[in-house]
Amino acid sequence: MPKPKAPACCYRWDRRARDTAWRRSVWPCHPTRSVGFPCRWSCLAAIWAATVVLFAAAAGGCAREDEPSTTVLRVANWTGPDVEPGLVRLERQFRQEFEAAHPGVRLQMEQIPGYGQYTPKLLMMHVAGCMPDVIHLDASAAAVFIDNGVLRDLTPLIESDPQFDLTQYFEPVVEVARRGSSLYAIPLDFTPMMMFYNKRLFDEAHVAYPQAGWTWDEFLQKAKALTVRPAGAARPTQYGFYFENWMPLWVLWLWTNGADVLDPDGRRASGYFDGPQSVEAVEFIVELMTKHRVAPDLRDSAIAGTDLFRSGRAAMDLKGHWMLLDYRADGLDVGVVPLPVRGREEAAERERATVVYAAGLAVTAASRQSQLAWEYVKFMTSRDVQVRRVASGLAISGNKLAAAQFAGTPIEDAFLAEVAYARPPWGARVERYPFLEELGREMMEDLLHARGTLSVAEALRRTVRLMDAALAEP
Amino acid sequence: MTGNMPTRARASPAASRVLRALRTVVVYALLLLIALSTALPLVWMVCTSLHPPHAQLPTMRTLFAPDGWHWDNYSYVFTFAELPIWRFAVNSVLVTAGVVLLQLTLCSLAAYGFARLQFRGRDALFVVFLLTMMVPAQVLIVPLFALVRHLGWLDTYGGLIVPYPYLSTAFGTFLLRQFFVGIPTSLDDAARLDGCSDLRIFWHVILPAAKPALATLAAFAFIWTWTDFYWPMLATSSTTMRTLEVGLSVFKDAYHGTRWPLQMAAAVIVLAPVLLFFLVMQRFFVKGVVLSGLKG
Repeated sequence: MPKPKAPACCYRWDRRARDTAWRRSVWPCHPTRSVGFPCRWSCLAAIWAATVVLFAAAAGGCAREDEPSTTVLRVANWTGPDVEPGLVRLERQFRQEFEAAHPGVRLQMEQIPGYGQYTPKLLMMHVAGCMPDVIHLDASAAAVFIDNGVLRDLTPLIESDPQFDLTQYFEPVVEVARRGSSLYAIPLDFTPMMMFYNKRLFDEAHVAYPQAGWTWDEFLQKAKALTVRPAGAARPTQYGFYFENWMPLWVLWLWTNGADVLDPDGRRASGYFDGPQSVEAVEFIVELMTKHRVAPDLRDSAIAGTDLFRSGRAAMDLKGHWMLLDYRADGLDVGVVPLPVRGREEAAERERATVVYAAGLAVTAASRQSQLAWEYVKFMTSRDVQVRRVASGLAISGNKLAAAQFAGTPIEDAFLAEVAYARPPWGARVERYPFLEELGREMMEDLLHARGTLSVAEALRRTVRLMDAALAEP
Repeated sequence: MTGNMPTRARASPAASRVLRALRTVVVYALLLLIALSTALPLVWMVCTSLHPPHAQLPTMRTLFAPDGWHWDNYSYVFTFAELPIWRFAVNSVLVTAGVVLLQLTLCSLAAYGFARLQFRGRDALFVVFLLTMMVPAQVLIVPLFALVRHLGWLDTYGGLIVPYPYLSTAFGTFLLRQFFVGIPTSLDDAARLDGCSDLRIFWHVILPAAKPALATLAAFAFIWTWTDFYWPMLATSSTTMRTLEVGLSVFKDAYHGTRWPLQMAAAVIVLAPVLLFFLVMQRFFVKGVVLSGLKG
């Protein structure tokens, strides 16, 4: 029986014939078309031409459309447009105000996204010779920029500027970027680390709120009283304290015990991080989880999968000012106190300590318009701008006059009172410190996984050896 | 060979049927388990993206029972004025298309040379070429960045597109060469008798025969480029030049890493084209694994 002829519109209509017909119509050099000249280059050339045109158009398409006389001031930062529409508007407003005050200048904000990418990208830009004029400087990673000649010493600019008064900034925050008589950044904003507590959970457990000057023992008692573990439950449903294995936070327990990670010159960890007071502090932290079970260990935290303090399942947490935004959004009623001290009678005041994590503005050494960059730094750190900028509650202004405007609430006053006890983080002085913090994190993880089978002293000794080796590297 | 047969033959047909069925059930159960565990993060992402914008990270218990399903999270992400997600998408498409085109052109030409042309030191050169696969991209990043900066291509499409083949041509060339070698040389000989030059053989004989391999390479190049974060992060500094991946990170930073539902909505938007593409091109990925003996 002969095969019925398919209608022309049918998909299965002789496909080969259709393809060939199509090719002949649009593809002049197809072998089935008998043309008398070879056009082997034409198709390749067409592809390359398309590519070249694409690049050319692309490269040209994003050339800056500035007036020839426009000066572009480039500013690098790690934060993006914020979620608060008010803040977004503010940032735009600051930019417009600065540009209005400096005709012919355009501010170009260059945001570097990605956790941990800020420092590597800026260093790469430094090596490649395309550094921005102004950078935001994070205190905990300031040393790598200061010690490698990336930044300009601001002292000459400060001295030649009669309008600028360095004393209007918080000293511990200014110290972050100081090397001898040189100063490399002006504080923008900062936060000391403080103990937050959930008032509702304290009230429910009839536990008194902590007060400044409280001790480790009191902290432990309160944490125990606030931990709820129903009979037969594998793990508590509510913890007294929320522990996160992040060394920038837990190093403060060493400080409040009179211990430290490095010697005062920041050259070695031996004799300090493995000293008896360090051992005592790390033992205290580890026992919160392994012995007293008043804080979630790594497994508990992983199972919970969420911030236990924010979800109202932990009563105390060690954090900075920025968390207030989230707590406010969550409707959490929190109080703030300084960290508890070890409580030795003779040295209670000396042990009161916290760290100041700060952001500053620095002018880069490569900037060809340092005077203009300095004007921008002055503008952004000025009282007028700062008052509007920190109104959101993200951080405390580095400018004392601006910060004073927000004083008067218990929380702000607690933060401000702690500034006197705040020290710059080691990362502001020791280039390798972020790596040492990673070693510390691994050590804590080992200790928590070992559940008492690894002695704290031994773990610290082992880590100190690695830290010393890292610090001794050229 | 036949010595074992009687033992098998002794098992009753009913028993062997049960055994076979049991094996099928076990195999399917295992496969289902693996499929579920692979899909779970995606399900989690999609479900979380529909939770109320201020909700906390859901647990497995609350994942499927949020306080209302919030489809408006997606419109929020699309219309967030400070982050032009459409512009990011256009950038991603342009960059990915450019890279795929460039990869296909460069790799197929190089692979043709290594597979078909006879010249002294060809195989040694190929080995050296392959060795570049052993050099981690991170090692090349600094000189590459300096090079692109000196060309004045930072923050341009040129700077986003051109360096990619530089980083991954060896894999593509290897993949295509393996395929080209398998195409019978008699086709070349016939074409040569008809008067074809090398390039014409490449164009009219090799490329049409190698369409599956080209599609495979295009698929890999698409996925790598679309999902890459590091180079676009380095090469761009203005918001208008960001690709979707970098834009997603900007979005995350903007929320201080806390508004999970909105972040997940953004992540779904970024990932959706890749998932769709993978579903359509799945067989080419499988072919690529078979061809190169390497996973993407």
